[in-house]
Amino acid sequence: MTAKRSMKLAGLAVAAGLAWAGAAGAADPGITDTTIKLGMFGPLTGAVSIYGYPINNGAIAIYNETNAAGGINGRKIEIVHEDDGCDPAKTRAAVKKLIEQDKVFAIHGGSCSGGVNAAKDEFISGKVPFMVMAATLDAISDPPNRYIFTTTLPGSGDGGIMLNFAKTVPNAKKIAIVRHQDDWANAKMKNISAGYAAAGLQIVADETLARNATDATAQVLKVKAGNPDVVLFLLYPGESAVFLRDAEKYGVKGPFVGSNSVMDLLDLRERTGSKTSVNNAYASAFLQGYVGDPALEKWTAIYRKHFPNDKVQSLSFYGMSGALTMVDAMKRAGKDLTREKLVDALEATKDGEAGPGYCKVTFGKDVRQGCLGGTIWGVKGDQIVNIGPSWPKTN
Amino acid sequence: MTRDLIHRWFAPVAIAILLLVPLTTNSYIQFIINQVIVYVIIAIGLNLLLGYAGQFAFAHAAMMGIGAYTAALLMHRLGVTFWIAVPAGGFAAAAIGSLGALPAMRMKRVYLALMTLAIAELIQWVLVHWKVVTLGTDGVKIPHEKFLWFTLASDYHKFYLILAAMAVLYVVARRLVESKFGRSLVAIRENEIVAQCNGISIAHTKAAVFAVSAFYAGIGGALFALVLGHIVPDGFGLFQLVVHFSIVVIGGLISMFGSVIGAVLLTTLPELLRGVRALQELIYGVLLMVFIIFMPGGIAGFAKQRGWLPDEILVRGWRALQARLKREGGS
Amino acid sequence: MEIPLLLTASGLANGALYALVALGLVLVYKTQDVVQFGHGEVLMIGAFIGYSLLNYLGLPYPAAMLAAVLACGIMGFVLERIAFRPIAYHHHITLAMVTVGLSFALKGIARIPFGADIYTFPRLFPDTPTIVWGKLIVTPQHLVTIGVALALTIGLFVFFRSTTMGKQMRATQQNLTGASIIGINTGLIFSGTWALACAIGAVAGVLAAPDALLYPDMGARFLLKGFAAAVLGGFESVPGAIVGGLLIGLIDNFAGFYIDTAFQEISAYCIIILVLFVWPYGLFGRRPTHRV
Repeated sequence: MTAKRSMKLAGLAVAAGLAWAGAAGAADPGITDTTIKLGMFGPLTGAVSIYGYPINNGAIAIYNETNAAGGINGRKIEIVHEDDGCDPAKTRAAVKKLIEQDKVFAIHGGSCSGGVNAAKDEFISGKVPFMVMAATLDAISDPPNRYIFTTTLPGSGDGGIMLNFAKTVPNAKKIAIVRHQDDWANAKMKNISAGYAAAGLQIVADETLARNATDATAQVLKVKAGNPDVVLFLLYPGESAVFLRDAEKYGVKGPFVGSNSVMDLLDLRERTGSKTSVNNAYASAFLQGYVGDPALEKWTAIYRKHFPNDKVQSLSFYGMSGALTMVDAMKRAGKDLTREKLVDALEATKDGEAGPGYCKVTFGKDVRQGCLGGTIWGVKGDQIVNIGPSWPKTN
Repeated sequence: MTRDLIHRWFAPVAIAILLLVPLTTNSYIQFIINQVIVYVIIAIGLNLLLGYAGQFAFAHAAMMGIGAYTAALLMHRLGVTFWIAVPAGGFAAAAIGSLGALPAMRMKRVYLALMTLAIAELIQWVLVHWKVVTLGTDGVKIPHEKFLWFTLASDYHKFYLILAAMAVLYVVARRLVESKFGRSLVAIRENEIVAQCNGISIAHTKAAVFAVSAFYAGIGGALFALVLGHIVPDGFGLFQLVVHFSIVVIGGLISMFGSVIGAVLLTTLPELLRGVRALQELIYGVLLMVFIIFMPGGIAGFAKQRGWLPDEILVRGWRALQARLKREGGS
Repeated sequence: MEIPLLLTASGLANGALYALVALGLVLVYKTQDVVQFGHGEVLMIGAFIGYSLLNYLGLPYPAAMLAAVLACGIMGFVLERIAFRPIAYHHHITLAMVTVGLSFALKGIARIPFGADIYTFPRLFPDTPTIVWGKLIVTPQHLVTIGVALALTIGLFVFFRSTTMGKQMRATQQNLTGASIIGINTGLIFSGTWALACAIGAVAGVLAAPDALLYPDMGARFLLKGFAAAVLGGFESVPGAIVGGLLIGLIDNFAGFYIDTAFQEISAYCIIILVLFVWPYGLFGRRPTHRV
């Protein structure tokens, strides 16, 4: 019985404590005179950690660089890094932990669309400024919400760039599509499904390739049977290699247009095990340059400085535009930083620095997708080259 | 004497403590606790099938998915209240789950396992591809329904709802296993032919246990959808199933305590292992192996051996009977 | 005729891999009643060992592959002794859960050095171009896979028929008590079976890796196909596993082309369901007799 009573007392004491803390805390959480606590989350365990680390580390490199240069109006950025395992339940738990337990000021994170979408409510109800790291699902930032921003090209935008390129291929009438069936590929399909007919194209094959597939014979033969003028592939890098390898084996000529996942076209070529497999392959991308491109030298150096043991890949640049935008907005929001002021500052971003991103960041009232640029890349010899948005005239 | 006291006061004290929990938590911890309770429900259902009845079936995660999707779609698309949607999720899962008894009638256990595994994966495939109904990989959002002062937007409010559901389902399951039905299950697990000779209808009993187990998974799934607020097909695949199996095996097969212990341990463990990211998978795997090798009867089995937990006998009122016999014998 | 020919050629090559995976599953199941959920990871570990020996120690290709197979065999032997023997007579679900733990643990181990990238596994004949015979197109890697699988099958057949160890293994599979009564060291047979199963898994791993690419999660898909193959073959039959594997490879390709490529994701499951409804004990399985 005494145990029960003391339990009750303990409960009351805690409740009182909470009420007191609520009354005393006028300033927003996560801010002290010398620090700003930023939350970050992404897939850091399991199969998907292969994407999580390079993406988040790119952003961390920018924040570290900011700290090294003196921080934000005298405050240093502190990062609390959580794992979301790319799983909705875990993502929601990670976000709740960042907001409720670690009491971060704002959050920059999320590379898996399903998880971020499931956790979206937490930012809205907690009024916590949130910058999407690399998740591409349109529904995260559209319809717009006051607290949710993204500088990553939404999937529909990526699909749009691919389609626009495909329709400028000379005499293109018939297209074939090979894709995964998941949130990532479906987001890209949105604009392709909506726009191909208006672009005067006809889909002659729409094939599914399973995740982790090791053979694409059936897909390639079906594509070949349709005799397409352009082939779009919405596949992860490993499966892209399998598909291009088999396409070459069975004599499908392309051109092949891939999404941002295969921007490292030379990497892709190595994985196919053939020197000629990507000769007629192109990739849409929202970066200003390829890995090793002089245009990205500055950003590569920053990444290398803070993560000297990592392999630099295009993923390493995905998180940087968001981090640069956050840093810029926090600086503009002034010494007297609050969450609402940060949101206002983010909203006021005009032609902001996107770093390695292929755009200038612009938000506005009800504009939460800040970066809609992208272009097509191809391979010449041993060099990745920028092709521009449409099929090159000189070819 | 102390053991008697513990028995008498365990349930009321536990309930009192549980009711006070939301006073002491933030919404992150509350969210984890809510998940723990949901997993207790799911684990009880799986233990009935896997432990008590010994049916090696792999569709529990898929049944959870059916429950979650039925409830979520009813609420999201048709605006049905959760008071109806959650039980509907349970019944939908029970209806589909009882079909699992069909292959169980004539298959050896490894085939039953693979058959149900295949059906489970098919169900997940349908959730992904049948976009017109399930919204595909975009997932389904649970509306924030209000009922008097109660709102589905609050983790604290949801806690009382699922706690009540868990309490009812726990008591029901306990009564079931202590009834003739529970003893028939165990008889079937031990030897089907002998069970049949003792007048137990194999077909009816198996159909019933598949249905009941799926009902628990379905209710658990529907509540899981409420807890999460947004569900996607990915959440109900093989990994989810592995979680269920780990809970039941590590907690203890053929034990109500086991389901509870396993759910508490295995839902909080990944959260506690958050700090060791790179090693998380390895630690999880090794712990799973070590636990099972050293405690093949699960934690509950181990604790019962040591006398830390009372025996669970499949006869109702057995404990009172024992006590009375002891008193009479002693006087 | 061109298309069926191409589908058959690549289907057989993939099927040969599935057959090897199924073989490992069947051997362990027959001997110890364990459903090995960690078998996909054995395949992955074998491939990573081969890759490391090749890349970091610079061993010649065949030597590296043989060493990887041997290493996995030893791993299997040890695993059985420390993880499965102590609980050999427990509930089969308990045993299966240990293999699930094993699967997590092996993936976790592989992810520490190799978690950050997808690796390209070199081919045995990297510079030989695709072989074209009339309408038939085959990669050298596929020929290697089919050849090795064939040789291994014949070798196993001889092993089980003609060697003492092989005969003892079969005896143990058929009647455990009987085998121990006549003096067979069943413990050694258990460990030996695991060693054999894991070695075969490693063979599948190094054969699959050049086409499948190399990463810690590469095993899951092969495990699944292996299960389907084993079910098709009755789960207790060695020839059944091989025929089952080849059939799964073919069905995948033909169903993908003639029905729908989206169907490939679930074709293995559909086969399991269909087979078990029509022949509840698989194509090669026998109806068990009931003992009371």
